[in-house]
Amino acid sequence: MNEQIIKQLKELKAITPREAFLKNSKTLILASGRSQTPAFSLRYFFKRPVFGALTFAVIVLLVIVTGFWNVLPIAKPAVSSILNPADLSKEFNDLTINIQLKEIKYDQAVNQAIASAVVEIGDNKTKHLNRSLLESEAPSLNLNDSESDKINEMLNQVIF
Amino acid sequence: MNDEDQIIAKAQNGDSVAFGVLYDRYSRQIYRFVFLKIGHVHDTEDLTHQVFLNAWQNIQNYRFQGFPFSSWLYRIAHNAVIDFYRTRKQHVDIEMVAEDAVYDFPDHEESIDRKNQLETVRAFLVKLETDQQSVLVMKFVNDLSNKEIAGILGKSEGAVRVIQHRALKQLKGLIEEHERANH
Repeated sequence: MNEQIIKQLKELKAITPREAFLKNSKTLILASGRSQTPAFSLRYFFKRPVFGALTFAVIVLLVIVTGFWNVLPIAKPAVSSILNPADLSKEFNDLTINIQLKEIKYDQAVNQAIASAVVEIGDNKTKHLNRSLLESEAPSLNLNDSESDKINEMLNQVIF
Repeated sequence: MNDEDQIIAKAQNGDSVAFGVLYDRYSRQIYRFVFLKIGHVHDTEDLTHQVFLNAWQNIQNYRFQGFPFSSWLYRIAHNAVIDFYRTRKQHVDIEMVAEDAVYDFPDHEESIDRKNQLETVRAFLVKLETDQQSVLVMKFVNDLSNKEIAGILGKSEGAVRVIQHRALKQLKGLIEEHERANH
């Protein structure tokens, strides 16, 4: 059976194209022309969308780089100092010291305030902060004293 | 450098007459190859035209790599048929194709019966897988060697032999089933 099928396959050689088609097709193809330049051709290059996109990207990149280099001389000193590792290191060290000094000063001030407050609280002579003294004076306070009202009124006028 | 190499070199230098010689030499077998895979005359003509136009536009890229120039043409045609199926997904109708195809039989008295018989074979050939069709057509219709077929399809000669064996077996099965259904 394989031989029979192979025989029939071979007979398919009888299939042939129309002569009119062959003639027209050949004429059109040979008349279409072909670029004489081998491999690389500008026309071929720009016909391909991917090459066009790449070219555009390269042009944009060149514009950006050119613009950057034009601005660079003006900004060079600042840029140089920003980018100079030695300067950066010195600035960082100065910054660290300054922060430390300020913290120390703040801490000192706070400590002093706390120390003063503690002293005052524990000192019976400092009448306005001594708890036991305030408590002892409480009964002698006359909250309904009219003189106190007058004083309060005067104080309000001064403050507001 | 043999005769064909000289013609190819001239064509690569832009000699259209030289390419015309190549066209005359290979157009019929490329047409047959495409038609036996697609089955419609008009589509076959379009694709065949495109294959040779493509070849003419890109002939400067052809380099001899152990295979003849025809192998390069078959590779272009093979890829064109794959693209055709990817975009068109044509289905073959036996009755429609029988009126389209042109057969050049030496004995015209047998032409109708032979044409019908061959159309049946061709219709079932189209039902095979793409590589199976290609191997059978290139081997038995266009007389290419296993080595050339392997180069065109990018496979080993052993793989081509396996594909050929399976293709014949499947084609035989389809034809026998068709004959059983009609008797």
